Amino acid sequence: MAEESRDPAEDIRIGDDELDVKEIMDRIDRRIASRAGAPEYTEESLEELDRKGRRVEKSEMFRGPMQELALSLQFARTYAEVTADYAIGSQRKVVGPLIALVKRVMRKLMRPYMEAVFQQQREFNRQLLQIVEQLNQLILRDRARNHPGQVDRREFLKRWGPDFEREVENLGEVASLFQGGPEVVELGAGRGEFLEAARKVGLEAVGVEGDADLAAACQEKGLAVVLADPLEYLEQAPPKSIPAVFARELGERGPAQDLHYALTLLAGRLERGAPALFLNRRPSSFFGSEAAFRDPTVVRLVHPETMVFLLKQAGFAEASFRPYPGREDEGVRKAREAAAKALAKLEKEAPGIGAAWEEFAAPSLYLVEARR
Amino acid sequence: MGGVTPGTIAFVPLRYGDEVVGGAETLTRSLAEELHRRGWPVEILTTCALDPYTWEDYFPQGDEYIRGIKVTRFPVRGRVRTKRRVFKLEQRINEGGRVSRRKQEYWISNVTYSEGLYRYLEEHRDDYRAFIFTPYLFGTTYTGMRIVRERGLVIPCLHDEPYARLEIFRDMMRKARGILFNSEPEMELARRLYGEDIHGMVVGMGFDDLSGDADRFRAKFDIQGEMVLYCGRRERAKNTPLLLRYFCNYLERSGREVKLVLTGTGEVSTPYAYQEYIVDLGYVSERDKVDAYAAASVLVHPSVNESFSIIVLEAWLTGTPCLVHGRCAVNRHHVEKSQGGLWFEDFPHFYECLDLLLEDRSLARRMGEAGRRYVLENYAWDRVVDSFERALYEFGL
Repeated sequence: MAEESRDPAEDIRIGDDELDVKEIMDRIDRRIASRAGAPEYTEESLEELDRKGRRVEKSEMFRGPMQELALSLQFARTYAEVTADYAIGSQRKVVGPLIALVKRVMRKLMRPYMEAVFQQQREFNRQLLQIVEQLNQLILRDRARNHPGQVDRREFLKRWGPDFEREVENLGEVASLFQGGPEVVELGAGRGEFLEAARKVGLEAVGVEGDADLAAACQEKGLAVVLADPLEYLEQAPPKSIPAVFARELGERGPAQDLHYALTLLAGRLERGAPALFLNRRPSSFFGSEAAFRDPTVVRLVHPETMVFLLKQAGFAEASFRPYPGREDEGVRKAREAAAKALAKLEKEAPGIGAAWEEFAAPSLYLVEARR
Repeated sequence: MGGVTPGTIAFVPLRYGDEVVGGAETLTRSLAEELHRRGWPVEILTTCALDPYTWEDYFPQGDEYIRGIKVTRFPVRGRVRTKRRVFKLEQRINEGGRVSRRKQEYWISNVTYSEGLYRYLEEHRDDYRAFIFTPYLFGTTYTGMRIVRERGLVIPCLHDEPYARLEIFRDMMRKARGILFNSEPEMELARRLYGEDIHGMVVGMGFDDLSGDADRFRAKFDIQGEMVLYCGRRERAKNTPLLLRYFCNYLERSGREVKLVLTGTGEVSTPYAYQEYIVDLGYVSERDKVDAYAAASVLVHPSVNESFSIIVLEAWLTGTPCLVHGRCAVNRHHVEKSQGGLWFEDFPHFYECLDLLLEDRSLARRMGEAGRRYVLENYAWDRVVDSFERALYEFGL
């Protein structure tokens, strides 16, 4: 790799208000002339590059199942047309042409018999490919339909989301619950608030984030993050390979069945006895609902009892929930306390009614503590 | 097949339909649809073919309506590859060898042939205001132009290639009532090849404003990170093998994490070691294609044989800069006039230009914006339809 040449602006120098492609091309010409014979200008054939195969080895990119499918399909297409018409030759110097001739004659003689078999195989391959390609199209269509839209989550969180530092503090208690344990995988790392909180308490944690901008935001802070859709990450993870997991707002976005699918996958990917914590917004809390419905990507809130039920159904040995006040915003805390007082007063005056509305003033979040 | 509305203009492309991929075909479809939208009586006379390699009948014969336009299809007899003589003649022409007029006639009569279409043209020659054939390199265009004579116009989509120098095409162009070119460089090429006095005008194709959704594309196809895009047919004539070789060398030399995404029809032979970096999506819908432009950092167009380059102009509309082959007169003309990209003719230039466009995002953005301005100013439909109308008037039709 020619590292010294990675900054093209170095001797091409394009000004911010300058745009003259002829002039830019002249500068590129001069740069190439002055660096004639530079290693990055050498060109190898595809066969040579393919033989080295360096790119696959050094790649650490996450490959999702859709990319796997696309690659496999490409391979299948290449080899689907079974044919006997491969190149015939011989390495031998003197008798080589004679051997090649004999091979050709033999192929010609056998062709009518082989062709009948190949024809069946080709037809079978075509049908199979067609089925897989149709399935692929259905999956792509489904994915397009479920795409959350054009919301720039990084921008949204910057404008409407909680203050980053405050959120780190808020998640400090969750991080400390994992303290002393193994590495935690956070599904949906967002801007990296939990990862930062984990770093502060000395906990090893890695985030999985499907939004490229948010993943980049984590990387900019030096936090460990994998750019991948959390569901696909779980699909790819080997069974019983995750020692601990944390997720925020689980099940609040995407199709309803994704939550059940994610929990079932998680149950299979977590080590036996591994802890799992989930921090979600409480639907019965006014403050939880208000915050949730400001977020344009949220489609539902998951009731804590439903979450516990689904976790147990998915195979978790233990699951329970509790309110999570964390480090609430001072204004929210005061408003909640005032509402609680008013409800307590109402309860005195009209027994049963105030208690029924108690949840209204509950903390906006609840924490589910589960164990596989 | 019903009567013909007086004053109808018939477009005669070899292939027509939403599934058809190709520059000449897209151009015909867009122009016909725009004229239809503006109330012009327009019809399409075409063949049943879809695949430009096998030329087998695919669409059913007869009439159908596509977005309100009547499309009449006739069976086609394709290029008879097994005819050794035709194949040898084609090889000889491609190598620039001398081929007699008689042999040229024999060859073109085998490069797609549609008896039904020819009979229809004979019988209805006087029912239409004009017949517009496209592209030049097919038996249907050559024979059709001879049948309809003074009512025939041609949108040649001309490239600088050995076929264009054949006597039969020289004759066809010189005798044509009018030639509708897609760009200035294409008209200059035709004048160089067939003489300054040919009857030609630049019309081209108009564009509606486009905007793509990069996030949707990335989510649908699971593509993360920086990407370079190629759209169109994947074949030697379009220089896709060269693009793959240059791109893999670029990856190897620069160490940059960038993907090449290809859309369109035709086989792509991807080296195994680079499978993760070369994503072949095959044929995609129009919407996916536009979203792909928006998701790409750069659109690369390595073809040297273009008469218009719809892909480049569409990519500019979404604000994406283009890297084109410098030996393609049309693309270079577009880039120089618009300031919307750069060009290469060898690997060092490919390396430097791509690196610059990927590295200097501000420059790439400004180039994309300049390209967008160029398309909106020069290829608005009002302007194109005016040119088309003026051309018909000039040609006396």
